[in-house]
Amino acid sequence: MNQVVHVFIASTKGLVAVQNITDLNDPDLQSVITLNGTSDMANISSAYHRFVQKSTGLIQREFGGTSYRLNLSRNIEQGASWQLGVYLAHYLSDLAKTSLAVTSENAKLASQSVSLGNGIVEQGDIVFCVTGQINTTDKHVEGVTAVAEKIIAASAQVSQWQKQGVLVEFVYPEANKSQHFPELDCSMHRCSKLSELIEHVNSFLPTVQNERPAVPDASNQVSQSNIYTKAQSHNAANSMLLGRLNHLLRSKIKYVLIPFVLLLLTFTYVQMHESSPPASKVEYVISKKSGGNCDANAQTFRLDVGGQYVTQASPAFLDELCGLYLHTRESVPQVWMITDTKTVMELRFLENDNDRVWRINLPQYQQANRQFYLIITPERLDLSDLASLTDYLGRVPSSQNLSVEVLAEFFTTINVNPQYLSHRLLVKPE
Amino acid sequence: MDSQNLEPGSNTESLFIAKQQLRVLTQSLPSESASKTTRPLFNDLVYCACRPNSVFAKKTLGLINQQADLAQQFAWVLNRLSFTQSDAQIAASSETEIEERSNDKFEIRIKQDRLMPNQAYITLKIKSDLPNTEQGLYLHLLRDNQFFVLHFPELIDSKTQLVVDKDSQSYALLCHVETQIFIQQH
Repeated sequence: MNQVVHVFIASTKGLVAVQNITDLNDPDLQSVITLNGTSDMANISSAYHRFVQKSTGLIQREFGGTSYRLNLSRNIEQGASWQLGVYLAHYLSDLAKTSLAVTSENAKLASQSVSLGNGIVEQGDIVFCVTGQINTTDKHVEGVTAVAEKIIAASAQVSQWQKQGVLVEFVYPEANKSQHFPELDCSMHRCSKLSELIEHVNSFLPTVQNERPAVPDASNQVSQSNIYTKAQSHNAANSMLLGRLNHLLRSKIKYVLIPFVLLLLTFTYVQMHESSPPASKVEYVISKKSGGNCDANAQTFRLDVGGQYVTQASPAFLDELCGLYLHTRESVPQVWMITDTKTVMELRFLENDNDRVWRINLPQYQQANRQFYLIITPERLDLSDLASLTDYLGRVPSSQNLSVEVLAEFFTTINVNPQYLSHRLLVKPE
Repeated sequence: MDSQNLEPGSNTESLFIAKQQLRVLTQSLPSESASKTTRPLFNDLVYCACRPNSVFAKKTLGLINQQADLAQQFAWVLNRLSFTQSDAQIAASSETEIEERSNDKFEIRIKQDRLMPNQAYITLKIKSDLPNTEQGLYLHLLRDNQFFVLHFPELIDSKTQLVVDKDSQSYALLCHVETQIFIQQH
């Protein structure tokens, strides 16, 4: 599943989105910042070129490449507090290329992809609003001026995102910690080193690949949709099959197996297209504390997942949650929950008019980031299916994290095409 | 006049004189009305060559582009003030577009953007030492007695760069063989 992460540079005139980064792959060209994809250059374009260059900056040193073109949503006229946000955007862009390259090697890892958002924020996305200057020699984050003004300028937009259920965080330098800031309707994070920032950001992302290809393909782009289409869902379900096909094609017996495998694929494809579409009404409800309490004033966020085969809810902080619920029609017979410890449990429901409200228990162990998957099946599965799934999960290597693709492989074998909903629950950094 | 010896009524007189002098000074500065009615002076041409981004220079350039003799004078001024220049190129074929031009002091290259097909990168490399280039360089482009000016940002490692739209006047002029180019320091 693809997690879209947006980077906004906090300026005194409001938030400026990093829209995209392209490796120009031409040593004769200088790095450049343009505005909204037009030929208009930002005032800080020359400074960005220096920030990229190996001799004067750190982007080439950290991420390779020759020269880059970065698009901003608005001009940044002066200063150097854009550096931390631009660095983070490069990190995420590099991560996206890496995960895409790994994905093409092994379709099983498709669930791990991350992409740099284009500044158009949607439900389920993560947003980092960043200000900070970087010492390019020791990679420390240096203090900046006017943080309070930047917070005020960002405030309305951040509140709007929070209402949409988007996870937002404001990142600023540790060196500014003694200053008094106005309140902002999101988590605030201070950092003093680049390594700290990256470690912190990684805690929000799906498992980051340890193994990176030596030369990621710069020409590829990662899809920015966080919700799979029906066709993509089918692809996910077939990902393991395709991986095996790829392996088989390389083997010596390919001439014998090709007709068989093609037949199998055609059969699977036809079968999936004949299956019924997802239930029309499925709503995921997140109840969050208001003023630190779970009372009548608790905030409720609703995520419509009806019609989607695979949905990723926006990550949420564990200590902000009051409860998690799934609302469905009474025609939905069963919902299974699979935790990151590979435990399977059947959820209980309450009847509410013609709807069913499925209560999701929050994890008891809340000292680490957690993740779970909900499986919404169109038909009732029996105990033998539950036993089969438990057995299947027991055979998944402990080093391998659960993903929709791993689960889809099982459900493909028992000929069931459920809806998948995943949600990451995070420990709030101190 | 010694102000300490002035009579009380002379304050008004000195204010009047000061105001009159201010008016004279203000009128002597280039202004919108002046440029509309007055033919640009030689100084105006020099100012236009050195500070082409100013409002006054832009208006002066408009007048220059309307009068062929002024354009010739302006070309002469640029010839004297510019760091280097490139005359109209001699095309080896019927092609009128070129993607590169250079002499012993500079090199201009036009590179198509691979992702944005309607845009191109213009790179300008200065081959000899040129001090004080933090403010960038101006390229005065001349074709058919019409001037157009482009500002390049500061030089880094003797190079500077612009992104231009391929349907823009600047791109058309830069690519055309008949365009004469004057490179002027900021």
